[in-house]
Amino acid sequence: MVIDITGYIGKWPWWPNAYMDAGLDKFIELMDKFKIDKSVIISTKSIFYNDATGNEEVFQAVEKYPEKLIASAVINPYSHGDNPAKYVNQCIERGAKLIRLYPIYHRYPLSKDNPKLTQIIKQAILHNCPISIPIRLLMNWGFLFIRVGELVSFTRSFPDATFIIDAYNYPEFHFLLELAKERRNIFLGTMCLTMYKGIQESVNAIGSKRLLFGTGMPLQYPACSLITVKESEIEQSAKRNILSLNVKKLLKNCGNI
Amino acid sequence: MIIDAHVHIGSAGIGGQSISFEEAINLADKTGVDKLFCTHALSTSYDFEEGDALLYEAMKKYPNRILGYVSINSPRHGKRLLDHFKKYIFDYGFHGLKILSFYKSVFLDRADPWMQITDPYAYPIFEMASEWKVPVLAHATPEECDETCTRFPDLRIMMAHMGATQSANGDWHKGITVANKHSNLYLDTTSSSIDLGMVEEAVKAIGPKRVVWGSDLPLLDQWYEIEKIRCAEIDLESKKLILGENINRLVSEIES
Repeated sequence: MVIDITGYIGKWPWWPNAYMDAGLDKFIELMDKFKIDKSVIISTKSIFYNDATGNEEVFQAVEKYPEKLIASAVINPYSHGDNPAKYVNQCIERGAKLIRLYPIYHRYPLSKDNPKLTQIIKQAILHNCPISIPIRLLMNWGFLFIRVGELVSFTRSFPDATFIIDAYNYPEFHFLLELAKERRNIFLGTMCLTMYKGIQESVNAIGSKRLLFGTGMPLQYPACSLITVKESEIEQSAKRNILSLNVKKLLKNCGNI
Repeated sequence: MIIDAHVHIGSAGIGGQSISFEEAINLADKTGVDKLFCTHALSTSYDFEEGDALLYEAMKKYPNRILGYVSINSPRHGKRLLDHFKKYIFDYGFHGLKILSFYKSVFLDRADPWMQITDPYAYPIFEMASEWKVPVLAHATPEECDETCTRFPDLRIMMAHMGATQSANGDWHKGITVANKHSNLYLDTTSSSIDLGMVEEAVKAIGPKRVVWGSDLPLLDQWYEIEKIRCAEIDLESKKLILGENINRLVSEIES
């Protein structure tokens, strides 16, 4: 079984993308072509336009393909008045298994001194809901990315939260592995890991149980991310952990208080 | 015949990545790559003479597996560099020239003036490469390739990473646009980016004969890079051209 921690639905504002332009059925077709059994999806609308309307698209997509898709919700701390925690609750009630934060695109500091952001994290902890902070949208140097030092300071402030630091690559590689060695609540998402032996060295550093397979499809070729895991020189059991078992285990408790 | 047209041997310096000739060949055996077109990291970052000498030794040791770029750290070494280039192409059987415009990156906001392909100091070596039809792999922005192709219309330039470097803000669309303008410009698909559609878009715009595959090993994973071509929605003939036939043709056309 293969579960993708990052699949994008919605529109791609910056250039044509045959799969996003064609809509959800085409996304499912691409999953089937590369034998990706399930995808934890996010709507690009929730990043670039409005979190709630994008999340609504996600919930509707999951209703249409409940066997294939898993909902994640993007939360902009400044879009929900004084009570973003209430919106976290609503998303989890609607079936979101993961919360994602995009501080660059929603223009807020990734800081423990940001009260609305802190409210979101505390609510996620309460629901056993993991929080994903993607470093970048996809592995293209044109897109802004979160500075790793900022990310490390922030995640250290919440030892009870479960963080998925997604889309890491060689600029952050060693620093993040050190963080993950030190902190058991840190998981890493592989969708942008392009380095030779990147998977193998990650497993050597932190083991296979906190690495989560991702593709960033259909913005990225899913086959590339798949083959780097399948051909990496690690145990078969480690590949199974990365490709599906870890994410299954991680998401199953979300909402079960 | 699959040829990886973009391989670094030695310590590539970014993220602590490094690879030996032996390790690269072992990997190529697994990925199904027949030949590795290499540059030595010592040449591009420190000393072209020392690095190229190491590469020459490896070419003798693995004559059917390794092709060599003369790789330069700066075009500002005058006659010493030009003599070196001539000797390595004609006496030692090297197959190309690797040059970098280094390095304005997402981490640094300045470029080193002594490492620019548009530097007039680079003109003499480009004149030689034009005359001898030596292919040039240039890590440079689309704008720099545009300027160089205009100045040297007979120079065969392969724009590394389709122009989608950090210096060029990952903009492979612009790389394709510039390649469409110059028939002597080739696109090297090596890239951290695996943006779905980038290979198809390049083939659609300039045809498959000016698209060349490479991996950027060890900065990037050869598996990851070759899969970008294997999974692309283009015909099989185009894949064969991109994965080896194009670079083989370029190398075979070097004036002897």
